[in-house]
Amino acid sequence: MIRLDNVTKVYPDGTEAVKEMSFEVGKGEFCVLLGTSGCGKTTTMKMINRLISITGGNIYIDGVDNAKIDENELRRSIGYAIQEIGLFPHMTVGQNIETVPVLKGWPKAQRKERAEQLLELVGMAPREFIGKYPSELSGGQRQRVGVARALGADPPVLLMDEPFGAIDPITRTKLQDEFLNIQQEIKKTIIFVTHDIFEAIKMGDKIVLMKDGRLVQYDTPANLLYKPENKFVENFFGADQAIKKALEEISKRRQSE
Amino acid sequence: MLEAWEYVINHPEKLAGWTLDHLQITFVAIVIAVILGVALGVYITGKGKEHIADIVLYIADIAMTTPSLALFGFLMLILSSIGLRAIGFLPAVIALIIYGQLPILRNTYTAIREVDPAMIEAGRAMGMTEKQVLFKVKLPLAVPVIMAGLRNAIVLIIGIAAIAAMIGAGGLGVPIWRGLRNARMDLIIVGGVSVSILALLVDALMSRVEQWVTPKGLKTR
Ligand SMILES: Nc1ncnc2c1ncn2[C@@H]1O[C@H](COP(=O)(O)OP(=O)(O)OP(=O)(O)O)[C@@H](O)[C@H]1O
Ligand SMILES: [Mg+2]
Repeated sequence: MIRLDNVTKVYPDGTEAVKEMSFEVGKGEFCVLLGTSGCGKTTTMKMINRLISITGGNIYIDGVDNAKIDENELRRSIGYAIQEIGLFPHMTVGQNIETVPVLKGWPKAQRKERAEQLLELVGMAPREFIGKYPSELSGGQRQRVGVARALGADPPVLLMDEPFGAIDPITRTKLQDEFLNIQQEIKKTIIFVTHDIFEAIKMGDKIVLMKDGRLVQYDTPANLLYKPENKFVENFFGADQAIKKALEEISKRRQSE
Repeated sequence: MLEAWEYVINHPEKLAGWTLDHLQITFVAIVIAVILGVALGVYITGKGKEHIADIVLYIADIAMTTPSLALFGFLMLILSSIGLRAIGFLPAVIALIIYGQLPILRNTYTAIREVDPAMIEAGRAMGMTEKQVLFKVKLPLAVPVIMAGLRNAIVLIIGIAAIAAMIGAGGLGVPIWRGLRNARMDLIIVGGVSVSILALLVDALMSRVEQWVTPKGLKTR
């Protein structure tokens, strides 16, 4: 469980990127941070594993203030996936996936078994891919390996910053579907950043809609669509009737699942 | 040219001796220069060391542009004033180490500074300590550029070592100087050509080493 309590970030240059954010993500929940570019999604996410220092408020992980946990311990217990750029080009697929297990000192046999298991999970034949380098993979394969690496040491929490960002729409849809299936199985607590409304509605159990560093509405996709708390939310999802129709479709499909 | 060849045929043992001496001086200098240069180059990339880095690189710049004869003379003065042998092996090796520093330092420094910040952040995000980020991410990614600096430094050192003969350190500079003094073109050619061949051979060897130490995923196929 993750809880943000009045979290604020003011960068050294005076930019107020995040203002008094408070919300709670339950265990096993898929929470999407949604908002236009520059609204503070990445900043919010990176304060959770302390890649960015907090300047006000607190973040609790399972009730423990994350400022009180050793930062490296904290990060090894939180999976982290970003756009494909995040893979280490000098390491094989296997070595990339084993990064955190190595840091945690897992024995070699266990690491290898884990890497194979994770490659299976993301739909890549271990035998074929474990020894390949990132430069030998397609964009979609790299994203899959990125997800596998984030799951390396089986962390209870996953942070994902537009993990399917730099990719063609068809592969993207496929990766989203695959990942939703994976989540059915692994039930991690996930914070997922995107600025894509469709992706947010499709993936999230709940969505944090942000604007200029503030939380506007924190709710289920259905409530954001049908019970917007103010004009901003209404316009964000429903400015265009066609978009609204499509979003409703996605939302209905999810509920019927 | 022909006389130079005849000289080699008639005195192979001399050429072998000079070459061995040359290799010995340069080998010792290169090993120390590499260790020192890479270590110092990594050190000055640390947080809050920007000033030190500027100073160190500036000094290395000056050292490299100092004419080698002046540097040898300067070293002889310093060594004799602290009571060490002012001629021969020691000052030669020290001077060569100093000459090798700039390319090694600069390349190591630049390579590490220019590692993609996204890679470094990815390392941190996985829970790597600063040291682990250095050894597992920055250094491996910097290898190609560092190696280019090493190869530069090594060719440079092999060439400049010829001048070290002036201060009695031996090596392939010996026939060159002797030739210059006695107007013996054949000796000058023997020395000069041998230094070039040696540099080429060692560089070829280094390109093998480069292949071997460059992480596989970074090689362009
Ligand atoms: N290191 C920094 N120093 C100063 N300001 C920053 C820094 N990083 C981000 N900002 C600013 O903070 C605000 C929020 O940035 P952030 O990266 O969190 O946005 P985002 O919602 O992730 O945007 P995007 O969708 O484009 O990734 C922006 O105005 C940005 O310019
Ligand atoms: Mg962002």
